[in-house]
Amino acid sequence: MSKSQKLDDKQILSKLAKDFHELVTNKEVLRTSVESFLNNVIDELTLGIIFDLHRKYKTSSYEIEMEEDDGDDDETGEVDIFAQHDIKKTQDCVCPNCDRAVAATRFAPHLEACMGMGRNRFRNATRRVASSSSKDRENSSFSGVPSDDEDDIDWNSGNKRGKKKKRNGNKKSKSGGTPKKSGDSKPNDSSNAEVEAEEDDLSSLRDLLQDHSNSSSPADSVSSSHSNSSKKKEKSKNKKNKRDRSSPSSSISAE
Amino acid sequence: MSQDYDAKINLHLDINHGLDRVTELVQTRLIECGWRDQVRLACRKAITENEKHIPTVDDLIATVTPKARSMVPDSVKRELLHELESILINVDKFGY
Repeated sequence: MSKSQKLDDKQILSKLAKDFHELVTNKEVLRTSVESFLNNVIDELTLGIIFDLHRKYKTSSYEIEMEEDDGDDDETGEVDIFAQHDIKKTQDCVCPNCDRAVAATRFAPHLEACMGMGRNRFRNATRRVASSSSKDRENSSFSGVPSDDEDDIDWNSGNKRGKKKKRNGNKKSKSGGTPKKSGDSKPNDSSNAEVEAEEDDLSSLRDLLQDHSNSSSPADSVSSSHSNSSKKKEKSKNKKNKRDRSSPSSSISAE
Repeated sequence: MSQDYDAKINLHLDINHGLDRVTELVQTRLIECGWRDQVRLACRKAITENEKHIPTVDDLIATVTPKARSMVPDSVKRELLHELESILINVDKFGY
């Protein structure tokens, strides 16, 4: 059965092919047929357009549009695309700090920045206050501000103390070290000083303990006592870092 | 006679799965040249002219189709004819 079907199909196809070929080869016939084909396609398209528009008019979708157009002419032109009236009627508040007109919705964050309560605007606010206080007022009216100034002072002094003490501490901890280490300790100081500014006393105590432990293993008790005395001198004299390094070794070598 | 030929072409193209391509081609060409919008406008005019009632589909077809046929630009028509002929020849060449 299938074989016979296949044969039939083939025969049909071959017939069709012949027919088509004849049609195509005959030029005049081809032209007319193609033209009529094209006309048919165009008619189909027009039908589609007609159906579409006719349906729209029947369902009166266009009429509604026209009515809306008439309605819009009466209204005034202050309406949003969502048919909302102007919302920009928010009251503006006057900032007591900078005397600026600020929107009510943005008032709180503005105050935070303006008065220095926030994180990022901390410095800006303190600068402003510092400049204003130096120029006009001695007594600032805002309670939170003087404490900020004090914090600034602590930070600045703490940095200096920390740097010097750290340098001394690092050098003392590495007893009998090469000058290279002194070079290494200096960049460490610059990075560490800012961090450990407030722990000056604690760090010095730690250094002392470290020095005791380090000195006991490699050097003699004599040298350790000498290094301790030299450390005390180093603490008092902040600038003589390199010389202090050499002094324990020289003292040791002398003895 | 021409009707038969037209039917034949439709048949042959359909068998070779070329009918969709051809119709799509013609559609795109006509939309490009703006013919579709023109026909739409004419339709709307024909509908809105009768203020009281909307004309039936048959009326619309009777009035709009001849207009639509005439609105097709000649250059576009010639181009499409050429293209269709070449497509048919190709189909014939490469066989069924």
